[in-house]
Amino acid sequence: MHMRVIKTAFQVTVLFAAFLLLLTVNAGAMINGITGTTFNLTAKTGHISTPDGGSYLIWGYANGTGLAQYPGPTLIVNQGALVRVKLTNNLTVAGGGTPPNVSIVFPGQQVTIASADPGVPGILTKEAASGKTVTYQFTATNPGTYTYYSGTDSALQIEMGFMGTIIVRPTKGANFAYNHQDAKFDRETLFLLTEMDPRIHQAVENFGPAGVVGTDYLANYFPVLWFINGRAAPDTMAEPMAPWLPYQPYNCMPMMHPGEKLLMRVVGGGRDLHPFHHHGSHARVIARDGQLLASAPNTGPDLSTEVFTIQSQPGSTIDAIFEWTGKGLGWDIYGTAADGPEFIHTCNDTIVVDGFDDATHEYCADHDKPFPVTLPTNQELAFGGFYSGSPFLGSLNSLPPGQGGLNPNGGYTYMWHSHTEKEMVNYDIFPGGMMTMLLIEAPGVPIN
Amino acid sequence: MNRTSLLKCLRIPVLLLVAFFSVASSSSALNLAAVEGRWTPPDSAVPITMWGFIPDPGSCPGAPVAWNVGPLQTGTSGANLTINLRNCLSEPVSIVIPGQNTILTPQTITDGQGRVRVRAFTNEAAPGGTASYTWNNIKAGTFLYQSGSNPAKQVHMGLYGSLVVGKYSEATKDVLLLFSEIDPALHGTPASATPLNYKPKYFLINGKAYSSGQPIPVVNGNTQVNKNLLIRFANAGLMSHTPVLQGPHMTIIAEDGNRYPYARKQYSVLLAAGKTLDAIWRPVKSGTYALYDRSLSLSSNGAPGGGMLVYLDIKPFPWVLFTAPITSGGAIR
Repeated sequence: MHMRVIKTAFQVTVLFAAFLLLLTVNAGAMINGITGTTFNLTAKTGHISTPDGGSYLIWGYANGTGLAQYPGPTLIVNQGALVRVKLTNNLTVAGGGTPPNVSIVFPGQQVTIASADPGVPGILTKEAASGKTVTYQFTATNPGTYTYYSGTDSALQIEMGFMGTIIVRPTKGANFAYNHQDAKFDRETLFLLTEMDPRIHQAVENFGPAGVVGTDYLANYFPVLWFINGRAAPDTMAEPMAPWLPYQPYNCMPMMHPGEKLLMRVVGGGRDLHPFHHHGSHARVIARDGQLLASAPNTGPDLSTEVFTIQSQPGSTIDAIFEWTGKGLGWDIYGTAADGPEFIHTCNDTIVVDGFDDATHEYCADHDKPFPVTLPTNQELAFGGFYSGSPFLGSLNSLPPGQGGLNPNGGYTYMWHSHTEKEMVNYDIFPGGMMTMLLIEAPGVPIN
Repeated sequence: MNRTSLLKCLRIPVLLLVAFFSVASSSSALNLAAVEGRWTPPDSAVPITMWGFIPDPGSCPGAPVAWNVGPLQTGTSGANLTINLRNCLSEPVSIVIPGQNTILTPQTITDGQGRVRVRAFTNEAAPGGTASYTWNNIKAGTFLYQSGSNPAKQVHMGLYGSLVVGKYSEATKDVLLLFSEIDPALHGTPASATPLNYKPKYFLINGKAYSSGQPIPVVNGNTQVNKNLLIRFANAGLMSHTPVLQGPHMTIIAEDGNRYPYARKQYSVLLAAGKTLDAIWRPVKSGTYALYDRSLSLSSNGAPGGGMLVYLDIKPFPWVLFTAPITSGGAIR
């Protein structure tokens, strides 16, 4: 197929994608979650699906009368808000026993218990007995990324699914992670990392929570499934709210344009350490546990550091800003005149003189440098769904029938995954698990 | 130069030298014994065989003692520290303190194939014998002391304790939280026990494992609201833990006895095996605060609940000094 035809097809695709966007509710470049100041969460059972065909009992926090969610709803609040979380215990257990109490703790928050729903005393906080409600309240004093999880029999209940994320938007604006210019972002993605030992879930499904008593599962823990935002790859890359994953509404599909700032909110939701490795570029870690890495108040994240693997710790949160421009690749990511007339373009570094094109963020030092590889013919290639047929950003080229369907706009993809490589599996089947892809779309390609 | 002026010239340096030596030569001697002990798990009346350090009773005990972590040792920054060790165990024992400088004299054995292998990091006390260890000019901070002989076995058998040197100017009160684990399967026959299949089932802070339904251990720093409290974390176990203080943020100020140039505000810390961390916390509200392992070592012999959990008791202001400290509690009030 001639390149020009492809180019036209590409433009049609872009237009069609834009048209689709108009039809759907634009979720924006923000993290899926529920907003407000009062949240009605309900503890329930549900069943999650894993890509290897597995189905596992979970205990999850539901949004009101909705389904249990793994993880619980992402609570998005504004700095300074008085947040109320009403937790109702509708948990049921196998064997007809009394369902256990449930609760929520909020690390990094000063929580009080509402007198209307005082709950009953527990080890870490007040709890809701079966059928009852407890209401927690706190003022979201500090912006940032936080987590919440069960404070009752936590080794079992967090494993079963009682955990989630809280995002406190700063007064400076929703596109800031914290109240400082250096915490500004264009897009944000949540990475809530968990693992699962199915023996525990099967024991609870068959015998209720008493099923783990007498086993050593909680001490001699052996996970075989790993999740980002409650999904294992490749489900991480499916759409959010996919109807076939009713208990796992959140996806994890980071998307961005060159030159944009992608805020990574990394939450350790389980009990293990996870080194989260993001290909493509380094990321600047600006905060931990909802606190800017600052040498003094108002300095901004002057103690931030660049990493290519974010060390996620259980119960802890990390905010990092990822940027990608293609700088340093050594060739022009938009092609050269030698590749065809449709690739002719300029690199205009005039308005903001920073070495990059003012609009496309092309790295001007590499402008018009040829792609250094002679591409093999299609007959000599094996294909992945993300290959567009072209090495140039935003371009497509001929592919065998049925190939390239995951990347209709000719974006660049980078695998983001746990660097504990055994966590990139679904029950010993590679690839899967704690893995997703970053999709960098060409400038002008809409991202929802 | 005549004799008098020579003496005059020397006087000040000599005085300085004397002053220097009077500081540097200040030393303390501690006497420990390595003994067999028994630790009774919270869920069971069957005691587990342990090895441990106790204050030296002068002679070896006639029967196993009740096991606990080694006694808290304290030292003065810049001083010399001597530990005299009596070995009441059936194999050689020694003591090392990671982070404190001294000259080690590794001990070797020749194995059955004629290979020379290191058995101990430094000189040992033979069974029934004694040994002495000195660290000069010790540095301030929180440290672990532990066996330097066959440490893969002897440390998890219980031969560990904490050393605290000096004080931080920021806090007058401090608490120490020593994390460790016990795998009972390796303690039945300690002579051959190795940790290759280490799968601990009890998770301890300061030698105690909380068990569901029992009183929760309270670590009492005798501290009150709006006063800085220093929390010293130490991990003598073989696994990493993630202690979290439920609610407020702490300010992490030191790691392995080294001050951070800039403190870090976190509500949890990664406490890797063998590591120490120091944190300052200024409670703004009195009450009971839970501190637990977010790596979920929160079970006891497989039973849910229990494990690495303590309460910190913060007194209201003004706190009457003679109020009896709370030693255990049942639930968050």
